[in-house]
Amino acid sequence: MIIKTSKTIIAVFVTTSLYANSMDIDYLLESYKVESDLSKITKSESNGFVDIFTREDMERMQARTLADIMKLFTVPYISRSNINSTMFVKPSQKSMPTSAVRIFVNDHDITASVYQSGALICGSITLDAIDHIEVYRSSASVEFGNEPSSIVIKLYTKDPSREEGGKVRVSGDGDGSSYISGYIGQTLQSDISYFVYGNTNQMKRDVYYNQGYPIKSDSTNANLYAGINYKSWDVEFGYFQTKTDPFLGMGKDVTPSGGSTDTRYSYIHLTKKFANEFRLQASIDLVDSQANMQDMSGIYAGDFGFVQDYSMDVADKIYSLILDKTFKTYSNSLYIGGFVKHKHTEVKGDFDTNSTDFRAHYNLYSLYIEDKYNFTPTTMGILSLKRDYYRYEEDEIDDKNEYIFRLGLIKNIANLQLKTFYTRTYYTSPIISLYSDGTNAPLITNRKLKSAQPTLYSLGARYKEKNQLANFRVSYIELSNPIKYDTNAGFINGDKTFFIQYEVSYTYKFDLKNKLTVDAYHGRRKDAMEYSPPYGGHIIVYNSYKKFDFFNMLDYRAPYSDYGIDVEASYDWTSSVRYHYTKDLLFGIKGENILDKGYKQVYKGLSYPISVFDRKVWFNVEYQF
Amino acid sequence: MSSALEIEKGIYKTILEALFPSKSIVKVWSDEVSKNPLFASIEGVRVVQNKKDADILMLFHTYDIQKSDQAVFANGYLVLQRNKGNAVGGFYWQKGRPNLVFVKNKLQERGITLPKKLQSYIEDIE
Repeated sequence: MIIKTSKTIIAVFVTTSLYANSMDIDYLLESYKVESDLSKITKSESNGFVDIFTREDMERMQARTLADIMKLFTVPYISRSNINSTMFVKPSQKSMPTSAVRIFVNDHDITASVYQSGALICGSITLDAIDHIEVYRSSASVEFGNEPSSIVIKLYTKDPSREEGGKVRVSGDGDGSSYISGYIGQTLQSDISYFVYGNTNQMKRDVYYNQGYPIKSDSTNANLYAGINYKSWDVEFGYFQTKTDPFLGMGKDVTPSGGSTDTRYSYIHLTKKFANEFRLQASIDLVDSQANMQDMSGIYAGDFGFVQDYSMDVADKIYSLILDKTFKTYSNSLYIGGFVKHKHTEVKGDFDTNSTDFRAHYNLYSLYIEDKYNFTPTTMGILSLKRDYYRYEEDEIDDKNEYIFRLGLIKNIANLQLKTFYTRTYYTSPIISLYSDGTNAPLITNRKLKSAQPTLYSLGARYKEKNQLANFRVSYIELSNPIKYDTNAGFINGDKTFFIQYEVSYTYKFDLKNKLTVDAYHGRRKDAMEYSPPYGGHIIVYNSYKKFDFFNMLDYRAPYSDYGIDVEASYDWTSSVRYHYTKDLLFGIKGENILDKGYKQVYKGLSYPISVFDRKVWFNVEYQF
Repeated sequence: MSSALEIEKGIYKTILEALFPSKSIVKVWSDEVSKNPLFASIEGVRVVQNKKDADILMLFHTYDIQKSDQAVFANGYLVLQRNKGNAVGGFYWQKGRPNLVFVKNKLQERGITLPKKLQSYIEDIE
């Protein structure tokens, strides 16, 4: 039955409408739009394996949030945690360190929270302000000038000089979810421009039950962004808020009786570009997160044991000062930089009748250098080195010095591009795993905990012709000192392990408006266990016919087994149609997880798996002015 | 697929041929020096250094050009808005897409009849 359904879908997908390929002015303007995409200016091949999601792609798939784009990722793919936040998982793995993925809005790192992760907000980041997205894998490039990671997701906001106007968008689904956003961007003089964006949305999710307790995950979210550019000065402000039901919560037997998570993240970022590619950046980040979880079966709270009412308020303040400069000659590009960050964390916890209250401060000093040398016009060598100095103000935590080292080679042979990287990096330990003022709650800390240290060996080949693009990538990742949590010993470093991942993809562009992509991926652990789908793939088709745009995607993930629960193969079909009533007024309809056979995640303590994405039908209206 | 620069060249070639159908050489002056190589590479176009020698003034960042004998073409949204009284047309980014417009009354003033393929780009701009 599943095979028959899949064949039907594939047949629908590969039926494309070929556009007239005339060289008239309409065609020239459309070609100019595609070829002038801002990603062609911002993307950097030397920073790793890069995948681009253009404005055109995102508009045609009627993407609302970053989670909609993450659905197209291969390695890692998207899942959701027991408290309804976004989670990344590599094939076969249970989870991946949250600090391995960093998310930037323009040049601002928005992952700098107490948990060293943007996971609490990243899935709910809305995209109408975003021009394009670059995803760098096997990266750890110091050129991003920030804290270590192996995956970097860069979101670039729209350029006001290309907007000179605004847009209003209203969407809703059959379950009562709503999404309203609007932006305006303009140049006021040739050297002053601004872009302002706002969004509010409410997501209604399917409700599940366990032992009579409802498992809810509705959420209310808001995003604000404002950017002003004056000559060589940029000032940006960002605000993200997400309030969500507890979903499964944190109880031993998954019997949530109440609670919520409420996170607010704001930042202000100043950039001054001087002559000769010298740049100064300064920023302040404020993170405020309140989590309350209630569960009759008990929630683990470190030395306080199991409690029924668990509350944590976390407040982060991060002050950053970044300086960098690039020296360029005909065949060489030398990038040097450094930053100082002061991080201040306050945690208040109430666990039934017990409470904890602690502060932690540290300074992070970083110096980095990256050299890109063109041995020939078709051969580039890359050498990166970064030194990080962690200085904790709490005497009990030992200061740490860490480093990142990276070597790369890019070779172009006619239509073929080969890339190889050797990267030695580390994943930072969240402050909450190191320090809790002696109470060892809510988690048993370990002040001697070492950072996890991945070493990546990556090889990629890309073949690009006029209308075709093929990619093959393989990475071998060795992880020293992986961090584990043991309810008796707390955070501990585990034994060295390794992971291998493969990705292959092929894209055929029929013309400017019609393209087909097929990809597949596989990941294998050292112990060959499969705690999540070990392989999967997508078929993605973009079509246009007259005033209609179509987007279809089938996301396949293989069967797997975890906590003794067998999960069948998943087939998540997303389909959208957009009608251009005029150039500026569009109507759309989008179906998500149409077959209701999308990916299901297994959770500890729950006897059945739960869908990461619900079956939904969205209606969408957009007006540009 | 051609590069953005080659396509831009094709767009300007189409515009200039439409505005000056009978001229074998169109003399172009631009307020953006970095664009001169692009215009110079178009067959049948000569870049001139003096405005007075030009058939058309290509404006990228001049907001208040005085009325002149030469045709004025705006290459930015704000440039077109600020030179509405003079510009014969504009090629600029707006709403995230490249736009091409020709101003009806300015075409009429100069007695220009655009080829059929470009007539859908004629607008009344006051």
